[in-house]
Amino acid sequence: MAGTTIVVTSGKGGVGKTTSTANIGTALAMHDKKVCLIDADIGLRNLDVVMGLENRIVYDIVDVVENNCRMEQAMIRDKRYDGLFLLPAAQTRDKTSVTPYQMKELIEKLKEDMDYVIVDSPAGIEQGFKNAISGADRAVIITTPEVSAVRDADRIIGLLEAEGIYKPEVIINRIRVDMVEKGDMMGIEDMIEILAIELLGIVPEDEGIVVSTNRGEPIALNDKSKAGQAYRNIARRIMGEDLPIMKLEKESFLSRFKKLVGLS
Amino acid sequence: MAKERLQFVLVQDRIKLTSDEMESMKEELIEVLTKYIDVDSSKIEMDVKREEDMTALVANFPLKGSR
Ligand SMILES: Nc1ncnc2c1ncn2[C@@H]1O[C@H](COP(=O)(O)OP(=O)(O)OP(=O)(O)O)[C@@H](O)[C@H]1O
Ligand SMILES: [Mg+2]
Repeated sequence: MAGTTIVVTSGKGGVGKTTSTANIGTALAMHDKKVCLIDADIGLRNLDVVMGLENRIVYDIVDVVENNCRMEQAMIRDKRYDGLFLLPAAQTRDKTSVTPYQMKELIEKLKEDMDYVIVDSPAGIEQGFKNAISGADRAVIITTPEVSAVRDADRIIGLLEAEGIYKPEVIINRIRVDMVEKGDMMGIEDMIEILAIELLGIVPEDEGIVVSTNRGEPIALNDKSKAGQAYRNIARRIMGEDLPIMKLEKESFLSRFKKLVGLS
Repeated sequence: MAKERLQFVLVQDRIKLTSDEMESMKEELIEVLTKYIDVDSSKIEMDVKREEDMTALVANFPLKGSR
Protein backbone atom coordinates (compact mmCIF):
# COMPACT_ATOMS: atom_id res chain seq x y z
CA MET A 1 0.00 0.00 0.00
CA ALA A 2 1.29 3.45 -0.83
CA GLY A 3 -0.42 5.95 1.39
CA THR A 4 -1.04 9.66 1.12
CA THR A 5 1.08 12.22 2.90
CA ILE A 6 -0.75 15.25 4.21
CA VAL A 7 1.05 18.23 5.68
CA VAL A 8 -0.82 20.30 8.25
CA THR A 9 0.49 23.81 8.11
CA SER A 10 -0.34 27.47 8.68
CA GLY A 11 1.17 30.90 8.23
CA LYS A 12 0.48 32.26 11.66
CA GLY A 13 1.59 30.24 14.67
CA GLY A 14 -0.64 28.89 17.40
CA VAL A 15 -3.73 28.50 15.23
CA GLY A 16 -4.19 24.79 15.86
CA LYS A 17 -1.88 22.73 13.65
CA THR A 18 -0.82 20.32 16.36
CA THR A 19 -4.35 19.98 17.70
CA SER A 20 -5.62 19.30 14.20
CA THR A 21 -2.90 16.79 13.37
CA ALA A 22 -3.62 14.78 16.51
CA ASN A 23 -7.36 14.81 15.96
CA ILE A 24 -7.36 14.07 12.26
CA GLY A 25 -4.95 11.20 12.86
CA THR A 26 -7.07 9.81 15.67
CA ALA A 27 -10.27 10.14 13.67
CA LEU A 28 -8.70 8.38 10.67
CA ALA A 29 -7.52 5.57 12.95
CA MET A 30 -11.11 5.20 14.18
CA HIS A 31 -11.91 4.15 10.62
CA ASP A 32 -9.23 1.44 10.83
CA LYS A 33 -6.82 3.42 8.72
CA LYS A 34 -3.14 2.91 9.31
CA VAL A 35 -1.76 6.33 10.16
CA CYS A 36 1.60 7.73 11.18
CA LEU A 37 1.83 11.26 12.59
CA ILE A 38 5.15 13.03 12.20
CA ASP A 39 6.05 15.87 14.51
CA ALA A 40 8.17 18.10 12.28
CA ASP A 41 8.43 20.84 14.87
CA ILE A 42 11.99 19.99 15.85
CA GLY A 43 13.04 21.78 19.02
CA LEU A 44 9.44 22.49 20.04
CA ARG A 45 8.00 19.02 20.29
CA ASN A 46 4.33 19.02 21.22
CA LEU A 47 2.40 16.39 19.37
CA ASP A 48 3.56 13.72 21.83
CA VAL A 49 1.91 15.58 24.70
CA VAL A 50 -1.31 16.24 22.79
CA MET A 51 -1.47 12.51 21.96
CA GLY A 52 -0.59 11.53 25.53
CA LEU A 53 2.47 9.59 24.41
CA GLU A 54 5.26 11.72 25.87
CA ASN A 55 6.43 9.08 28.35
CA ARG A 56 7.05 6.47 25.66
CA ILE A 57 9.61 8.32 23.61
CA VAL A 58 12.99 6.67 23.27
CA TYR A 59 14.14 7.71 19.81
CA ASP A 60 13.06 10.58 17.59
CA ILE A 61 13.05 11.68 13.97
CA VAL A 62 16.63 12.97 14.10
CA ASP A 63 17.78 9.56 15.40
CA VAL A 64 16.13 7.97 12.40
CA VAL A 65 17.71 10.38 9.96
CA GLU A 66 21.13 9.95 11.57
CA ASN A 67 20.77 6.16 11.58
CA ASN A 68 20.95 5.86 15.35
CA CYS A 69 17.93 3.60 15.18
CA ARG A 70 15.57 1.99 12.73
CA MET A 71 12.35 3.79 11.80
CA GLU A 72 10.21 1.20 13.61
CA GLN A 73 12.13 1.78 16.83
CA ALA A 74 11.27 5.47 16.81
CA MET A 75 7.61 5.01 15.93
CA ILE A 76 5.40 5.03 19.01
CA ARG A 77 2.19 3.09 18.88
CA ASP A 78 -0.90 4.95 20.10
CA LYS A 79 -2.52 3.86 23.38
CA ARG A 80 -5.95 3.51 21.84
CA TYR A 81 -5.55 2.49 18.22
CA ASP A 82 -3.21 -0.20 16.99
CA GLY A 83 -2.99 1.37 13.56
CA LEU A 84 -1.93 4.79 14.80
CA PHE A 85 1.71 5.80 15.27
CA LEU A 86 3.73 8.87 16.19
CA LEU A 87 7.20 9.71 14.98
CA PRO A 88 8.27 12.32 17.53
CA ALA A 89 10.39 15.40 16.93
CA ALA A 90 13.74 15.84 18.64
CA GLN A 91 13.53 18.27 21.49
CA THR A 92 17.17 19.21 21.94
CA ARG A 93 18.07 19.78 18.30
CA ASP A 94 17.14 22.47 15.80
CA LYS A 95 15.33 22.61 12.49
CA THR A 96 18.52 22.18 10.48
CA SER A 97 19.05 18.67 11.88
CA VAL A 98 16.86 17.32 9.10
CA THR A 99 17.03 18.41 5.47
CA PRO A 100 14.04 18.51 3.12
CA TYR A 101 15.64 15.71 1.12
CA GLN A 102 16.02 13.47 4.18
CA MET A 103 12.46 14.20 5.15
CA LYS A 104 11.22 13.25 1.73
CA GLU A 105 13.13 9.98 1.76
CA LEU A 106 11.85 9.16 5.22
CA ILE A 107 8.25 9.82 4.22
CA GLU A 108 8.55 7.81 1.02
CA LYS A 109 9.65 4.82 3.04
CA LEU A 110 7.10 5.33 5.78
CA LYS A 111 4.10 5.65 3.52
CA GLU A 112 4.76 2.29 1.94
CA ASP A 113 2.90 0.67 4.77
CA MET A 114 0.59 3.46 5.89
CA ASP A 115 -2.72 4.70 4.57
CA TYR A 116 -1.91 8.21 5.73
CA VAL A 117 1.19 10.02 6.91
CA ILE A 118 0.29 13.30 8.56
CA VAL A 119 2.99 15.88 9.13
CA ASP A 120 2.60 18.55 11.80
CA SER A 121 4.44 21.57 10.52
CA PRO A 122 6.12 24.18 12.71
CA ALA A 123 4.99 27.80 12.47
CA GLY A 124 6.69 30.09 10.00
CA ILE A 125 8.02 29.82 6.48
CA GLU A 126 11.63 28.91 7.16
CA GLN A 127 13.50 25.64 7.08
CA GLY A 128 11.09 23.85 9.39
CA PHE A 129 8.24 24.59 7.02
CA LYS A 130 10.30 23.50 4.01
CA ASN A 131 11.07 20.22 5.76
CA ALA A 132 7.47 19.63 6.67
CA ILE A 133 6.14 20.12 3.16
CA SER A 134 8.76 18.09 1.35
CA GLY A 135 7.19 14.78 0.51
CA ALA A 136 3.61 16.00 0.96
CA ASP A 137 0.95 14.92 -1.51
CA ARG A 138 -1.72 17.13 0.00
CA ALA A 139 -1.70 20.16 2.25
CA VAL A 140 -4.17 21.29 4.86
CA ILE A 141 -3.86 24.90 5.98
CA ILE A 142 -5.16 25.86 9.38
CA THR A 143 -6.39 29.37 10.04
CA THR A 144 -8.55 31.16 12.54
CA PRO A 145 -11.19 33.68 11.43
CA GLU A 146 -8.89 36.65 11.94
CA VAL A 147 -7.53 38.98 9.28
CA SER A 148 -3.91 38.35 10.31
CA ALA A 149 -4.24 34.56 10.24
CA VAL A 150 -6.09 34.49 6.92
CA ARG A 151 -3.54 36.83 5.42
CA ASP A 152 -0.71 34.51 6.45
CA ALA A 153 -2.68 31.55 5.14
CA ASP A 154 -2.76 33.26 1.77
CA ARG A 155 1.01 33.58 1.84
CA ILE A 156 1.31 29.87 2.54
CA ILE A 157 -0.97 28.98 -0.37
CA GLY A 158 1.41 30.86 -2.64
CA LEU A 159 4.48 29.18 -1.15
CA LEU A 160 2.92 25.72 -1.45
CA GLU A 161 2.15 26.32 -5.09
CA ALA A 162 5.70 27.44 -5.67
CA GLU A 163 6.78 24.08 -4.22
CA GLY A 164 4.42 22.19 -6.50
CA ILE A 165 1.74 21.43 -3.92
CA TYR A 166 -1.47 22.52 -5.55
CA LYS A 167 -5.03 22.74 -4.28
CA PRO A 168 -4.42 22.92 -0.56
CA GLU A 169 -7.52 22.77 1.60
CA VAL A 170 -8.32 24.91 4.62
CA ILE A 171 -9.66 24.28 8.09
CA ILE A 172 -11.05 27.32 9.85
CA ASN A 173 -10.47 26.73 13.55
CA ARG A 174 -11.73 28.41 16.71
CA ILE A 175 -15.00 29.66 15.31
CA ARG A 176 -17.02 31.34 18.02
CA VAL A 177 -20.67 30.50 17.67
CA ASP A 178 -21.80 33.58 19.58
CA MET A 179 -19.81 35.83 17.26
CA VAL A 180 -21.15 34.12 14.17
CA GLU A 181 -24.66 34.65 15.43
CA LYS A 182 -24.04 38.32 16.06
CA GLY A 183 -22.33 38.74 12.70
CA ASP A 184 -19.13 39.88 14.42
CA MET A 185 -16.93 37.45 12.61
CA MET A 186 -15.62 37.27 9.11
CA GLY A 187 -17.96 35.04 7.18
CA ILE A 188 -16.75 31.57 6.29
CA GLU A 189 -17.89 32.01 2.69
CA ASP A 190 -16.03 35.32 2.42
CA MET A 191 -12.80 33.75 3.63
CA ILE A 192 -13.12 30.83 1.25
CA GLU A 193 -13.88 33.09 -1.66
CA ILE A 194 -10.97 35.41 -0.99
CA LEU A 195 -8.49 32.58 -0.48
CA ALA A 196 -9.96 30.71 -3.47
CA ILE A 197 -9.41 27.41 -1.73
CA GLU A 198 -11.45 24.35 -0.84
CA LEU A 199 -12.94 24.24 2.68
CA LEU A 200 -12.07 20.99 4.45
CA GLY A 201 -13.93 21.86 7.61
CA ILE A 202 -14.68 24.25 10.41
CA VAL A 203 -13.91 23.65 14.08
CA PRO A 204 -15.63 25.59 16.84
CA GLU A 205 -13.85 27.24 19.73
CA ASP A 206 -14.14 24.66 22.49
CA GLU A 207 -12.76 24.71 26.02
CA GLY A 208 -12.83 20.95 25.83
CA ILE A 209 -9.81 21.12 23.53
CA VAL A 210 -7.68 22.59 26.29
CA VAL A 211 -8.90 19.93 28.70
CA SER A 212 -8.26 17.16 26.21
CA THR A 213 -4.78 18.50 25.41
CA ASN A 214 -3.95 18.53 29.09
CA ARG A 215 -5.14 14.96 29.42
CA GLY A 216 -3.43 13.77 26.28
CA GLU A 217 -6.70 12.54 24.82
CA PRO A 218 -7.60 14.08 21.48
CA ILE A 219 -11.09 15.53 21.46
CA ALA A 220 -12.04 13.42 18.43
CA LEU A 221 -12.41 10.58 20.94
CA ASN A 222 -15.21 12.46 22.69
CA ASP A 223 -18.47 11.70 20.95
CA LYS A 224 -20.35 14.43 22.80
CA SER A 225 -18.07 17.24 21.69
CA LYS A 226 -18.88 19.43 18.69
CA ALA A 227 -15.18 20.04 18.05
CA GLY A 228 -14.69 16.28 18.18
CA GLN A 229 -17.49 15.84 15.67
CA ALA A 230 -15.89 18.49 13.49
CA TYR A 231 -12.62 16.55 13.37
CA ARG A 232 -14.38 13.26 12.72
CA ASN A 233 -16.16 14.91 9.79
CA ILE A 234 -12.87 16.29 8.50
CA ALA A 235 -11.35 12.81 8.58
CA ARG A 236 -14.27 11.44 6.56
CA ARG A 237 -13.83 14.20 3.99
CA ILE A 238 -10.13 13.35 3.77
CA MET A 239 -11.16 9.77 3.02
CA GLY A 240 -13.22 11.13 0.15
CA GLU A 241 -16.68 11.38 1.61
CA ASP A 242 -18.80 14.31 0.53
CA LEU A 243 -20.18 15.59 3.82
CA PRO A 244 -21.93 18.92 4.32
CA ILE A 245 -20.11 21.46 6.50
CA MET A 246 -21.60 21.36 9.98
CA LYS A 247 -23.93 24.10 11.11
CA LEU A 248 -22.68 25.76 14.24
CA GLU A 249 -25.28 28.33 15.04
CA LYS A 250 -28.41 27.17 16.69
CA GLU A 251 -31.10 28.36 14.37
CA SER A 252 -33.20 30.84 16.23
CA PHE A 253 -36.92 31.06 15.75
CA LEU A 254 -36.44 34.44 14.11
CA SER A 255 -33.94 33.24 11.53
CA ARG A 256 -36.08 30.20 10.74
CA PHE A 257 -39.02 32.50 10.30
CA LYS A 258 -37.02 34.86 8.09
CA LYS A 259 -35.98 31.96 5.90
CA LEU A 260 -39.54 30.77 5.74
CA VAL A 261 -40.83 34.07 4.45
CA GLY A 262 -37.81 34.54 2.21
CA LEU A 263 -36.17 37.41 4.05
CA SER A 264 -32.72 35.89 4.34
CA MET B 1 -15.02 45.65 7.61
CA ALA B 2 -12.67 42.75 8.35
CA LYS B 3 -13.31 41.49 4.84
CA GLU B 4 -12.26 44.78 3.24
CA ARG B 5 -9.12 44.99 5.37
CA LEU B 6 -8.23 41.44 4.43
CA GLN B 7 -8.75 42.14 0.75
CA PHE B 8 -6.58 45.22 1.02
CA VAL B 9 -3.58 43.46 2.55
CA LEU B 10 -3.92 40.53 0.18
CA VAL B 11 -3.77 42.75 -2.91
CA GLN B 12 -0.43 44.01 -1.70
CA ASP B 13 0.87 40.60 -0.64
CA ARG B 14 -0.12 38.88 -3.83
CA ILE B 15 1.09 41.51 -6.23
CA LYS B 16 4.11 42.42 -4.08
CA LEU B 17 3.58 46.16 -4.46
CA THR B 18 3.40 48.78 -1.76
CA SER B 19 0.24 50.85 -1.51
CA ASP B 20 2.13 53.80 -3.03
CA GLU B 21 3.20 51.74 -6.01
CA MET B 22 -0.30 50.39 -6.32
CA GLU B 23 -1.68 53.93 -6.32
CA SER B 24 0.72 55.16 -8.99
CA MET B 25 -0.01 52.12 -11.13
CA LYS B 26 -3.68 52.95 -10.85
CA GLU B 27 -3.05 56.56 -11.86
CA GLU B 28 -0.96 55.56 -14.84
CA LEU B 29 -3.58 53.10 -15.94
CA ILE B 30 -6.24 55.79 -15.72
CA GLU B 31 -4.03 58.12 -17.72
CA VAL B 32 -3.67 55.59 -20.53
CA LEU B 33 -7.30 54.59 -20.53
CA THR B 34 -8.64 58.15 -20.57
CA LYS B 35 -6.75 58.71 -23.79
CA TYR B 36 -9.20 56.37 -25.44
CA ILE B 37 -12.28 56.09 -23.26
CA ASP B 38 -14.15 58.07 -20.66
CA VAL B 39 -13.62 56.28 -17.38
CA ASP B 40 -15.24 57.26 -14.12
CA SER B 41 -12.12 57.37 -11.97
CA SER B 42 -14.11 57.58 -8.75
CA LYS B 43 -15.49 54.10 -9.21
CA ILE B 44 -12.41 52.14 -10.15
CA GLU B 45 -11.89 48.87 -8.34
CA MET B 46 -8.76 46.80 -8.37
CA ASP B 47 -8.40 43.39 -6.85
CA VAL B 48 -5.91 40.57 -7.07
CA LYS B 49 -7.80 37.34 -7.37
CA ARG B 50 -6.54 33.83 -7.03
CA GLU B 51 -8.11 31.54 -9.55
CA GLU B 52 -7.83 27.88 -10.47
CA ASP B 53 -4.47 28.09 -12.18
CA MET B 54 -3.35 31.69 -11.89
CA THR B 55 -3.40 34.84 -9.87
CA ALA B 56 -4.83 37.78 -11.77
CA LEU B 57 -5.11 41.51 -11.35
CA VAL B 58 -8.78 42.20 -11.94
CA ALA B 59 -9.61 45.83 -12.53
CA ASN B 60 -12.92 47.45 -13.08
CA PHE B 61 -13.01 50.74 -14.93
CA PRO B 62 -16.61 51.88 -15.20
CA LEU B 63 -17.35 54.16 -18.15
CA LYS B 64 -18.70 57.61 -17.45
CA GLY B 65 -22.37 58.06 -18.00
CA SER B 66 -22.93 54.35 -18.66
CA ARG B 67 -24.90 51.97 -16.54
N1 LIG C 1 -10.85 24.97 18.58
C1 LIG C 1 -10.16 25.32 19.66
N2 LIG C 1 -10.80 25.72 20.79
C2 LIG C 1 -10.08 26.06 21.88
N3 LIG C 1 -8.76 26.03 21.98
C3 LIG C 1 -8.06 25.65 20.90
C4 LIG C 1 -8.71 25.27 19.69
N4 LIG C 1 -7.75 24.93 18.78
C5 LIG C 1 -6.57 25.09 19.40
N5 LIG C 1 -6.73 25.52 20.67
C6 LIG C 1 -5.66 25.83 21.63
O1 LIG C 1 -4.79 26.76 21.04
C7 LIG C 1 -3.44 26.53 21.41
C8 LIG C 1 -2.58 26.37 20.18
O2 LIG C 1 -2.96 25.18 19.50
P1 LIG C 1 -1.88 24.28 18.75
O3 LIG C 1 -0.73 23.99 19.63
O4 LIG C 1 -2.61 23.14 18.14
O5 LIG C 1 -1.43 25.31 17.62
P2 LIG C 1 -0.20 25.18 16.62
O6 LIG C 1 -0.65 25.80 15.35
O7 LIG C 1 0.28 23.80 16.57
O8 LIG C 1 0.88 26.10 17.34
P3 LIG C 1 2.43 26.28 16.91
O9 LIG C 1 2.42 27.19 15.73
O10 LIG C 1 3.06 26.89 18.11
O11 LIG C 1 2.94 24.91 16.59
C9 LIG C 1 -3.47 25.28 22.29
O12 LIG C 1 -3.43 25.70 23.63
C10 LIG C 1 -4.80 24.63 21.96
O13 LIG C 1 -5.30 23.91 23.05
MG1 LIG D 1 2.29 23.04 16.87
